[in-house]
Amino acid sequence: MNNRLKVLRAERDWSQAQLAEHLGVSRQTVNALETGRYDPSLPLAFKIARVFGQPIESIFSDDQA
Amino acid sequence: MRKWRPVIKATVITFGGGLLFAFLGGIAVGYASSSGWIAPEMGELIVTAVFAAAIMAGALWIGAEWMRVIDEAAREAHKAAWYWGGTAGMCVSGVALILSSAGPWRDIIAREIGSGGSPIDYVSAGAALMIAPMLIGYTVVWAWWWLARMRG
Repeated sequence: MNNRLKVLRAERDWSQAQLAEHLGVSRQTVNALETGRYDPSLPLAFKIARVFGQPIESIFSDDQA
Repeated sequence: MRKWRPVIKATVITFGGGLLFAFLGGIAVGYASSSGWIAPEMGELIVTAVFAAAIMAGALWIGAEWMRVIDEAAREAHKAAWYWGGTAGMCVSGVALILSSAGPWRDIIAREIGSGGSPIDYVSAGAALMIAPMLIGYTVVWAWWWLARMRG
């Protein structure tokens, strides 16, 4: 799974810790999401979409599609 | 810190309550045995069994509260560790179970282990042999999962 988390976070000038606080997860989890080493659950993906005000499919893309 | 309150509360109640029960239970057993109502060993067994069961139930409660507090990635690490580490540990224990259960090799192993000890020692050793490989597997898989995803 690919995602644009790092780009979206940079656009808002947020640190990983700040994004983690918005999402209610740890900074390590944000780092793992950004580097593609961890795929979020559907509830967390929806939360990420809400935080950035964008649809899920504009943030995440299937690298096997 | 506020989100950890349920975990702290469960820990304090479990261990504080457990120690208080053991203290009061010890006094009660001392009084009951000196009055001739119960054999001291039986009283100690009852108090220790209730204490152990309560501490283990409390440990489950602490674990449940803790799982609610940690984030989903941390939960996934523990799920993976429990399944893969616990299963691998059970496979190790399974080898010991097969070798000690039946067949001529059972006598060879028994000779190598030697004699001595009482049946309760074997019960204790069996319980430890069941738990230890699962715990080791759990720890190894958790560390692998965590380091593979959370470094940096």
